[in-house]
Amino acid sequence: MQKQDKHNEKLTHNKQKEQIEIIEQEAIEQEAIEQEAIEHNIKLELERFEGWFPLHTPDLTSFVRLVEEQKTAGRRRLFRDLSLFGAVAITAVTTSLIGLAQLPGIYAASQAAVFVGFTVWVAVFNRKRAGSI
Amino acid sequence: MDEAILIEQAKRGDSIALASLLQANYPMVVKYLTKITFDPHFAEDLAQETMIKCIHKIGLYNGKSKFSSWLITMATRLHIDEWRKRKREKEWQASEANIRKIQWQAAAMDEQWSETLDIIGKLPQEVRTAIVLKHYHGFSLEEIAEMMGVPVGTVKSRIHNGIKAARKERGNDAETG
Repeated sequence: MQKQDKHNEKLTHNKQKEQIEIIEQEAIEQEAIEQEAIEHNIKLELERFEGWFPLHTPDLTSFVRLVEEQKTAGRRRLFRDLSLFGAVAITAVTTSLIGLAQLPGIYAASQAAVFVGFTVWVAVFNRKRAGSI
Repeated sequence: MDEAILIEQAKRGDSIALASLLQANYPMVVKYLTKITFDPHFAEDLAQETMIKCIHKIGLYNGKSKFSSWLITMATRLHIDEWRKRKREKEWQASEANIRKIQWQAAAMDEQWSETLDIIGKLPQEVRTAIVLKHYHGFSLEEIAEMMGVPVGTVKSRIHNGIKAARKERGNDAETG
């Protein structure tokens, strides 16, 4: 009798468990359906939305003009940057050469100072980086 | 003419080929930007900036993604930069005003301003962009992450949060309605 009761209890428990699983599964499916509906609705509404604004696409000539203007501006910018770079480089090289010819001692000392300074800076930077890793 | 041929010609410096590519893709870029900004005028400005950026960067296009996706990436990044700049300058108060303007325009055209559009319009910019890219254009999470310059997990959570907000709003409306 007791064994039968236990068996019945187990059956009831299993049934309840199954029912809970079914309810959970249904909830997940319902959620997925709802999510899909929301996503579909978003797409439809955005399609409708974009149609509200009149869109004027300029003709090909305007685009060609824009391309030409931008290319010319780009070339000008490149020329300006290269000129600036060239001027700075020439100044630096000339200063170095004058220094070497006129004051070789000071030139050698400044070169050594820059070399030592740069080496120390690299060593400190690498140590800091290694510490942060 | 085939887009691939136009791209090759444009990369070799053919201005007409590049202009044709830009003209063909211009409406798509404006429409995309209108959907993520909810501001048609700002969208047009950004579309023009995207076209200019494309003129300067066409040599760097490697054909790994579709040309339209490449343009969308540039447009998205320009929008993010602009948004950050405006936010920093504390001038980004346009959102609410834009929505009101569009609502008014919709009413004037006898179009219905839906609850979904209201929810999308009120979403933060970065969430709205991710949702438009995913659910309108159908890009993968990886592609969106690349376009927005953020990790995939961030895109996933932005989309999840957006959809969650939409569901919540709909749920609230269903309860009150």
